[in-house]
Amino acid sequence: MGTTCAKPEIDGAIESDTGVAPYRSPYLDNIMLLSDSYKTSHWRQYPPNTTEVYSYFESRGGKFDEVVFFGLQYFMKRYLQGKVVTRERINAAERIVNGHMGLGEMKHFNREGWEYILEKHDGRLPVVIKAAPEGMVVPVKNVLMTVANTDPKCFWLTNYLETLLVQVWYPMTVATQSRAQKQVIMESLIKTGTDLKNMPNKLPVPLKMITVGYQLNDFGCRGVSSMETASIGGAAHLVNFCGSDTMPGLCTAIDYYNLPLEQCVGTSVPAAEHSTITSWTKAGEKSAFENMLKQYPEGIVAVVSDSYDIFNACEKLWGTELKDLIASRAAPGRLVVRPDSGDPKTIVVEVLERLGKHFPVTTNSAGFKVLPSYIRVIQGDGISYESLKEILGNLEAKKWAAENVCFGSGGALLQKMDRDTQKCAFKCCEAIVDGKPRPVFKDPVTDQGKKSKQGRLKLVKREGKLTTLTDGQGDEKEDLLVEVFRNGEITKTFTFQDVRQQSEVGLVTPIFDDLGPMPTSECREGLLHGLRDLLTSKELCDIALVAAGGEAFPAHRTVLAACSPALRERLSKLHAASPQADGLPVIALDVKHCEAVKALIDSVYGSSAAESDRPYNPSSEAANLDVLKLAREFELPALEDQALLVSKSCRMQKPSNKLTCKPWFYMTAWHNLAHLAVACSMGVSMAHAESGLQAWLGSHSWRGSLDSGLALRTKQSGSLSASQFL
Amino acid sequence: VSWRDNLILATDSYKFSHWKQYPPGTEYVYSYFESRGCDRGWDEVVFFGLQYFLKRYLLGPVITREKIDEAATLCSEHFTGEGLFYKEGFEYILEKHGGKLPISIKALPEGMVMPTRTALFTMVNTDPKCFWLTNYLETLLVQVWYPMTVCTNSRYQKKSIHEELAATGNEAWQIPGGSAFKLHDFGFRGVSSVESAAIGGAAHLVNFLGTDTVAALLCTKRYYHSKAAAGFSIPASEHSTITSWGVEGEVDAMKNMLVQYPQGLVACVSDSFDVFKACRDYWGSSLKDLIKGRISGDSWGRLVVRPDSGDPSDTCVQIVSILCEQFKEDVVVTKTGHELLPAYLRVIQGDGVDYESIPKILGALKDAGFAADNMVFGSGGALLQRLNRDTFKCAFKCSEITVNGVAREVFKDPITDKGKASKKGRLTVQRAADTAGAEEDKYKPRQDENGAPGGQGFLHYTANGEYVTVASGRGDLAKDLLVEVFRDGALLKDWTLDEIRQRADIPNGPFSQAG
Repeated sequence: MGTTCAKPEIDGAIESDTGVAPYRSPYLDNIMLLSDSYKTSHWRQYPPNTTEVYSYFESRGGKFDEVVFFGLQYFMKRYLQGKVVTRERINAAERIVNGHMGLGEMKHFNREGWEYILEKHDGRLPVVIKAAPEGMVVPVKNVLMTVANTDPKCFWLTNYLETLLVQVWYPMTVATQSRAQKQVIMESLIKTGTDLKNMPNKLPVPLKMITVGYQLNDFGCRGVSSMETASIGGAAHLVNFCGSDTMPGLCTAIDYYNLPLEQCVGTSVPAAEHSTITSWTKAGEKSAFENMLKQYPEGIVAVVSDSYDIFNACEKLWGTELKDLIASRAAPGRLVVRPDSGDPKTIVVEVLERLGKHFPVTTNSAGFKVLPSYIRVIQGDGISYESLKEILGNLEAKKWAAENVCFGSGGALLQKMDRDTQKCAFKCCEAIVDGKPRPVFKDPVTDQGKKSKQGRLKLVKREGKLTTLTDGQGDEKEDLLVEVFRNGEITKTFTFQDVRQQSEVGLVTPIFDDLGPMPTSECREGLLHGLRDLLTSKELCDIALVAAGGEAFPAHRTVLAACSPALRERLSKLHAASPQADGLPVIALDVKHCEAVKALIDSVYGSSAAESDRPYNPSSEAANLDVLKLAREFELPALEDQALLVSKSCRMQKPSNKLTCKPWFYMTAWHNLAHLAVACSMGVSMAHAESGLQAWLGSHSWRGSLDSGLALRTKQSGSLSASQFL
Repeated sequence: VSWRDNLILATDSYKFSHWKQYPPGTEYVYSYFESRGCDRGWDEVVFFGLQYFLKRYLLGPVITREKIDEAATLCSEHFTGEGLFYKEGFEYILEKHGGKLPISIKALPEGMVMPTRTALFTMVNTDPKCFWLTNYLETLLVQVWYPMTVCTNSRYQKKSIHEELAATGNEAWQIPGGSAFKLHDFGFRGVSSVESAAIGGAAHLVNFLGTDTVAALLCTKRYYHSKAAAGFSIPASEHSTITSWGVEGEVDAMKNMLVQYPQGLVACVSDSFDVFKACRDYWGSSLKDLIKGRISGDSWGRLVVRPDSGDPSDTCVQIVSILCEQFKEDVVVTKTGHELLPAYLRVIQGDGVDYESIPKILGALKDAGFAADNMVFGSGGALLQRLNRDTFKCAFKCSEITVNGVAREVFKDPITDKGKASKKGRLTVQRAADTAGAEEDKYKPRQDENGAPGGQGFLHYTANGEYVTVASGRGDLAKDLLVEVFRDGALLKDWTLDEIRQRADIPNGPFSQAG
């Protein structure tokens, strides 16, 4: 039987003061050991005088015709960048490999090769990786990444990295399938009456992002094969959606793709699990439900309702005994009922029908039924790409709008897939031997589908379509593959926002297309920092902004023009005879308060981000309205948002002590609460919502849905009163 | 922010909200983990992998001030607003317990083979103020489904290989013979992360000795006390090392393999262009003497030919036929009359190998008159990736809760799915022989919509009648097969790979052979 807590044998020096450290210390970081065993023997197997091995990665076909390339940056940052080869690691790897490989005296570990990398390259990997930009949607059978050694002595290194790099199949496949599900949901929403295309974008967050973005939630953390997998797969799902319960996925998007924390807002909501319901016992199910509504008196709350009898729960508990409590939760409260067993294809409609018997159902402009906005259904059992289509088809057939339902998916989203789902392979396609490049390929008689490409490869656009050029054809300039790694350094970093925007090309409508200006990479952050320095020291200024008869604020034309098309327009019209102040040409702004000009400049130069401990605080409402005016005139959404937040006349104050406006907005907008979301983000004086929306949204076609939302709410509450929105 | 170092974040988001959702006065939450059956028709699981999770994530002071603050920051954004994250709860663990988790976990000994629908581990909080902690850890610990499922799947393949070896006249059962090296792990690249490769690869090593997943060696060494390498591999070519010699150079590439590795085992992928030609004209003709010469005098060596495409059964039969023909002078006939390649030559099939194709391939070979021992298998995706929590329907459920000092049984039993009914109360797992059981106490599930919810009776016998999960706290703790492995941050049992291998071995398997 087991010994009690003996210390494990550990390679290398590891501090073990608590007895716990060895188990926590990294043990999977040694790049020499992150490979298949047989790779350790390959350095002896290439032709004599091989100086370069050039290989590529592709999807050879599979379930989907196009893939979202995503995840390489994680692997590079986590395992490849920097000084990854050290003497200590070489020693550890040598012991393990030689103890593990082969019989007899022959040593397979390539000590000499690794020592060379340590000494000649300071332990940094002499390879170059080119890849499709992360998030790019690429048809199958195209090159997605190429790898080659940069030092002729290290020809054996290219394919040594295959094992690790091929694991990109996983985030890529998750992102691809999750994107296909997004498309399915979008199509169904549009078909059943949600006007995605005309939803306004000039809001803190595009409404369609909220509508679709939360409709497929990641429930997969427990059903994947490890926490690292959860972290990678969870991030891949977030490329397409905002809703996720997989915390490690969120962490990876933040850590490895610079997802700003504020974009994580509302990615999950409080929700019951069986234990928190069944622990009240069967007789206490109603009390458990009631407790959920009371513990979370506002916002969204999801409650699993099938512990004993889902139909009884829908009709007797939710639909009768707790009905008033549900309807009376502070707007925009929403209960989400979760069935968790039964046939997913039919259970959703069954639950909707039962809820529809007890709650007032309306019919939208497309003729589909919609539950009141304070109640929705989430199906989190048996959801896959295939079942999602069936369920939504079933909803359509029964005349229920897709907006009544959101989904949760676990195993099918993050686990039920493999490298063959998109037939991912990494193959050598060129080698340089005796100084001469030779095309390399395989072409087994036993499977024509496994034939590989040959020669140098480029990913190019021809007649609007992505295609791969082989055998060195084409011009370097048209190659869409980007160099992302060279000699231990990551040479191109993608932000999560970059990835999201790329991945939406070709979708019915993008949802991540306007998230406002925000610093997106360290490099750009550095640039912003530098620009702020120049501004503070008034160096190189070539323009001044002036409020009516007031102080002149020097600035840089290029910066202003880059941030605002309207300012760019104004700048282009300057001429020699334009008025000057302090020797600088002047742009006169039609506002009274100088501080509004200052606020505009701060916003453009990102100083609000830099000095976040000094929040925007206008001296008066009049000054704030000036800011708002400038923000709208020059199309600066971040500034507009800022002004609205503190505006007194726009009543954009915090809806409650706990919540700031933005999360409030997200919450109301949890999929189709669009009308309330707009109202909330506007500050929710009803009269103001009415008039302000027209000016702000400028989208009359969309107003139909707003009006019906407000009308519905009015009908339910019996009176039209602004206070009910707060 | 990193899940890697912060246990608080290694969970599902909704778990953050659960502390508010239990009944007032809740003091203890007791939950268990089981397999509710298998969608491949298998009736047993090998319990394996919990120790990794305990050591990697739960041992010692895992809650610190920094981790609490970090989680609080992330949660306040993640959940639209404050007040959800139970900061006080984690601070209590930090202050009262020095950051160690006040939890007790009992589990089956690792490597134990147990019929499905049996409790595999149970958990309960040891401090009544931390009632919410038991199920907070569910997300992480349910991931045990993975090593357990890999291990079980791999063990069933070992069984089928063992049967076919016996049926075709194999006589050498001691390591390295028998099934010990017959299924090689090729799964590193096809699995979803490095950590999964480590855990899944370790699970395969419970049953076999062959692996190319180096991460698995590191895992068994660190978490399961394997002394030297827990698994072995051999030099082998891949397509790039063959195709880089050019089409005309394929035979030179193959010769180079034999020359570079004059002794020992060496595997060579042979389907780059035409695997049949390679077997007949290269291995079977021009390189024949080099291969034969691998066993001579003190030198012992073996070439393993690897096809890598085509229908696995057809291809293997054809390759073995061709090689037996080309090397017929040294072919051996087993006691059952099946042909066996000379000791210096074998075939490895590493494409399309899974629990269904292995018996098919070996069956086709047997029918064609060839012994199973001609073959070695490599498996990647099917071994480490093509599995999920539903393969063995793994679930973690609360079965008892103590409220204001009174214990209540807790269960779910949805009318919409009978198979999801959970067990009630405190559980023990006992041998049926050790357990007095009256007929009326045997568990009977709810019969129809109006039946007693949660079913009746507390003795959950396994299908083979050998074991019983005794529910409702009616079991005998002295006879409980569940062993306390973790308590208040400390590990109480530390299983070694050696003993796990013994426990999990199949009858007459490689690890149970004497000598």
